Amino acid sequence: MITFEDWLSALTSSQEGRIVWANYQYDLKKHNLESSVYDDFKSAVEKRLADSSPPVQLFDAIVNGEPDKFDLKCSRRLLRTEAYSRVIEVTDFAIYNLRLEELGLELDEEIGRRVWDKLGVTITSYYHGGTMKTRRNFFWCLPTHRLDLIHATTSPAQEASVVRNKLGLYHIDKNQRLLRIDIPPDVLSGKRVCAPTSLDAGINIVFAPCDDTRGVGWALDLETLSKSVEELIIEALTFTADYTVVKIGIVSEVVPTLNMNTLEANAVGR
Amino acid sequence: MSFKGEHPIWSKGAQLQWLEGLSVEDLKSWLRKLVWTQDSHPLVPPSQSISITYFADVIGRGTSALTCKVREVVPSLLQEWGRNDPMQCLDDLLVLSALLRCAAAEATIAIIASERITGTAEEVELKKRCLSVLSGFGCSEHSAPLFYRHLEDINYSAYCFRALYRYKLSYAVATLPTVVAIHKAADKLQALKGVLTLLFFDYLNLRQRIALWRDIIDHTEPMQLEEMLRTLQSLGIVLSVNRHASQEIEVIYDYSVVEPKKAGEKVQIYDFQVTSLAAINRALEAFLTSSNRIAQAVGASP
Repeated sequence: MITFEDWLSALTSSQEGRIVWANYQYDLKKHNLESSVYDDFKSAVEKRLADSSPPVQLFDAIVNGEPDKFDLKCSRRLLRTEAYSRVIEVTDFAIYNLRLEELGLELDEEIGRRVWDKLGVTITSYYHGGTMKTRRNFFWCLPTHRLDLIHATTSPAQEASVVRNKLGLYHIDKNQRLLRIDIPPDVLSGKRVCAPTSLDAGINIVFAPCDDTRGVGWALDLETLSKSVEELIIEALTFTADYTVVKIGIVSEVVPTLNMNTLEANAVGR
Repeated sequence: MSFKGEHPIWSKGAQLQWLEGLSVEDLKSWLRKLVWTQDSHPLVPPSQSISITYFADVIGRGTSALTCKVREVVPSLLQEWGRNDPMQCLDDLLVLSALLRCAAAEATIAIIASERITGTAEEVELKKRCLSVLSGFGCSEHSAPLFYRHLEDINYSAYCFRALYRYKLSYAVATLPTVVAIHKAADKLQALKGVLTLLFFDYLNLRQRIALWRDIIDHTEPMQLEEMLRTLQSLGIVLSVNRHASQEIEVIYDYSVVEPKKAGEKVQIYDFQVTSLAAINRALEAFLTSSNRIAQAVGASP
């Protein structure tokens, strides 16, 4: 009979699994997650052990499959809210946050470039639509002043690469286009805003939970693999004309090589 | 104790390598699992990303062999989708079709749009997605009837109009009055402005624009043309010549019963028709006083 311990042993047989588990343990140790979340998680794993699914896959399936139990559960209270912004790649923005049907703009592999060229000219806030979220029912953001600071201290040609690196967005490659969406403060009323936990991050090796007393999380810088800028997650929001969308720029540099050993040592030693 | 499967793969390069190694059947199984259950194992999408666009980007960076395999597989997955499956599955497959240009899916998408999705709010959104993807493939003789059929539905009118004029510019001449009328009736004039800006100022160059206007003027009923031009004028798509420039004229004859003017008084004239009438009167006056012979002929006193 397969036990939870067997599953854990299999999970931590991979470097990715060890990083994820170390982050989860940190969240529990620092009381970022209530003990009831741990109980729910363990119980969910045990219920599905018979599937014999690969352990990382099971971890992912559980946190994705039960949002009420595992999403936005950081118990550390955010001391003060401020202005927040989301950084998004233009193709995602075009497909999920624009009412292209009102323009008649066709969807193909060039949609990102086409929207980029027309943004602020033909494409105005009138065309905003959809929901601000990822596949899960929340999205990642950072304080607006951090982006302002990067904007003020970086050359326009470098800005998108610097933002990508500071936010740990290792999936954003050279030549991809980044936008910044400023969130109107009044839409956050009654919405959950908190630091991300290891369960929100899922199988994400470029993630570090933290115990910041202000209740914020911190993104990992792709170049240094250390803390760079505050990051938070926000419950899904309806995206309307009230949001401001600004072009950050086109990423001009390739993704820095990530040292898995450093990431693991940092996670385990945290 | 055993757990099946491979270690997680998180870097784009390694993910691409793994995908390149799959057979058509294995790729189909993996994509089916991704779309229907959100399970991409052993590939791990980043938590900040949207998995379907993320993997479209990964695949798009691969060899043409991989792209060909995907283009073979996606149409058959679209055929597997049924009305009882989650709508999100169809949306993901449509996005994948668009971003990886799976043009072989055209016929299946056209059938889904016309037969398999009907009229709930969620299905309207899906039909929009279908038409946007078909338009991205480029309208063809197969899809043109579908676009033509949905042109008068405000939900799809803009997609259909653009798909049709990109296929044959003559469609713009034939369908513009309808599209303007549909948008006006639905109180969607701001959207119409975007649609027409794309056509006139983005898609067409100056020479094409003028040629198109010539055709529109030649082929549109005068009443309909005037009505359409008034709407386009209100949107700033066409501009009126400034006929109402203020000018100062001297009163010669006063026809007004409201505010009689003295001869020789200077007044501002704003109305074009009044100005024209005044100009005609002035010309007539000049004519009558300078040509006694003709003045007599028309009965004027010498």
